[in-house]
Amino acid sequence: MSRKLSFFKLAWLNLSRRALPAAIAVLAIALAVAISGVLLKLYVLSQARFATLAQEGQSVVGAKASGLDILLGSLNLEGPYPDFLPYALFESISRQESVKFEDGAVTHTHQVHGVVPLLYFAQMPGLSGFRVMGTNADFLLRPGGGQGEAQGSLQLAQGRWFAGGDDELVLGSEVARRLDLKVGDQVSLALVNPVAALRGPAESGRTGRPMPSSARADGATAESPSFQVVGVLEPTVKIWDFAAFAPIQRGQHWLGQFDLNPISIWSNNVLHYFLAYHEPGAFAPLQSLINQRTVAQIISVEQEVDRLKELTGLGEQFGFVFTLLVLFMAGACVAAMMTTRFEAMSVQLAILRALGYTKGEIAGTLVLEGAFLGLMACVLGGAVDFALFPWVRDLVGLDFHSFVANPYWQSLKVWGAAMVASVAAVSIPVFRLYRQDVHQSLKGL
Amino acid sequence: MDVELKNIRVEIPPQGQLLFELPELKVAAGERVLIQGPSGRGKTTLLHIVAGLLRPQSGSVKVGGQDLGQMTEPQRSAWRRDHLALVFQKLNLLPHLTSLENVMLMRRHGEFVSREEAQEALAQVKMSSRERVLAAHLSLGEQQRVAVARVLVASPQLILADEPTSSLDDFHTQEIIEALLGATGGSEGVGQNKARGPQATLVVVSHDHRLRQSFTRHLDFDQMVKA
Repeated sequence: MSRKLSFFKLAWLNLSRRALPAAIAVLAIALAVAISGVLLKLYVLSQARFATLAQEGQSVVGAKASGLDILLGSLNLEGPYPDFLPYALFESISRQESVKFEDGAVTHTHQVHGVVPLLYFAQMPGLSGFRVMGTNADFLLRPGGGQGEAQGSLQLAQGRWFAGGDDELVLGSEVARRLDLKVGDQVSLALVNPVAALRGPAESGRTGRPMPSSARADGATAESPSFQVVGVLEPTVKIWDFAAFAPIQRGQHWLGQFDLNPISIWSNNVLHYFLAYHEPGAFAPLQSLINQRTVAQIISVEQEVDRLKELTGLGEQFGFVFTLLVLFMAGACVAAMMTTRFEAMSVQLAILRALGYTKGEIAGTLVLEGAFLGLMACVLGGAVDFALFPWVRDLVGLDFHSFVANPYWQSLKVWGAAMVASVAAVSIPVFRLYRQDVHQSLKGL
Repeated sequence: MDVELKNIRVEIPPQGQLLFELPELKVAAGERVLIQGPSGRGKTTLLHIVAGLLRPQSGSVKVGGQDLGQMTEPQRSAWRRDHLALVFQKLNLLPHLTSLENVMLMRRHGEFVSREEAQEALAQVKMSSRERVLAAHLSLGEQQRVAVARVLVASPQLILADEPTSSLDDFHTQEIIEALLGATGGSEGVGQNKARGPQATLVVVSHDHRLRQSFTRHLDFDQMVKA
């Protein structure tokens, strides 16, 4: 211990010898830091949740459900296991011939340039919620928007796209990175049991939670088919980075492992969604026919994305404003404490002035006190924030795939703001100090 | 350190009512002056003017040859720190600090005094056994002794005391006055100041008549000023 006093030590003594008010202030700021930290991270996560949304195709066709369910299920790979569509519907549109509906109605689809099928049939081993999708070569090429040109086609970082008939797999970039897989590796997939997924308890809510797998209807354990990695996609910074892709025929084949009678009248000739690329004017007739005459539902990607933004925007803004409000309250708490203390200490500060302490030196000590309060509150509040955040994130259901799954660094912003607020709160007593009449204060002695 | 005040006029804000006018006051270096007078006439105000804590409405204040009116506020603070010590009637100390820490608050030439010097000063005023006690828990007499220890450790050239004994009994009054006189250089200094320079000037304002025999000059405040 130094044998002399210092301004640093004096500031610490001023706080520690008045432990109760200091502790109350620290607790109040720490609480604000913890709440703000959790809120800010939830805010960032809620924004990131839809940052992975792949806005592709003009329309998506899925089983009857709400527009947002279809949008998020197909282009953000979240939500419960979806109902099936007949593969024949997809085939009709993909051939650009006509759509043959169950009631015999027919519509021509020459305005549709291409369709991309999606069928979830397995999960990656060791990565719960990372879906394996059956699709075709059009997924990679992206049919053009009317002129035949590719619409931002995906790029392969390694290998090639799969061939149609083999158990081959193309990995999204995050899947390859997290499982350290490369071209030529063999992967045993965990098959999803669609009967259990659709009829079982609602345990498959989000992609982060496992879908029921392996148990067959006859009681036997389903195989874990081995697929060979033949390609790895370049990062897209979209949900596709968290998925793997296989030929849809192989997906249907492995789906046939299960008795699909309770949930499918089309046996395993099914798929979950298909993305449609078409002329703008084709949506209305397709919507009218598909929505009214089939088990399917078509949605406009653009319209549903706009609706999603409307629904989430208000909540996000509210969360951000609330975060700022909590931080402001923390600053106000310090300001109140320091101002009250200044009133009580005005004679003591006058004594210090009489002893030769300058206003600047006393103000510096007050600033140090504010910084100490802020620092202690950040340590305590940060610990509470880190302990609470995973629980709160699961509670509100934000356990989805994201590139910012654990945005702990966001807490740094809160700590910085709390420090600034704590130090800035000292400005009121500092202002009073500079206007203090030492003579009058000392005359009270 | 000599003190010279000329044509001082002090008004009471905000109306500007005259508190007092002081044509002249001279105190020679090393002198021990007692200024006496009834309460409420402006003795404390006069002391604060000499300490540079208050600027009079007019007049000049020279201490040690330096014109306080020409100094900036930070310069006056530094001047007080290096040349001056003040003792008040009560509440001299920061109540949340111990006796020792209150003495360690003092600085010489910008440097805080050491713990050892502070302990030595407390020993001189017979407060060693109370050095770890919070000032809030000390009696008034003990607080005044700690305040005098602060003067000892600072080793100033000018000591100003405002009613230092008015709340004390005869025994403690004698003890405090002896300590203050000792702090002017009549006794051994503390730490680095054992080899002290010329004797410090002591100016005490008080209405306590028990102090008269201890000072070389007595001034009647009412005769000094025009109110």
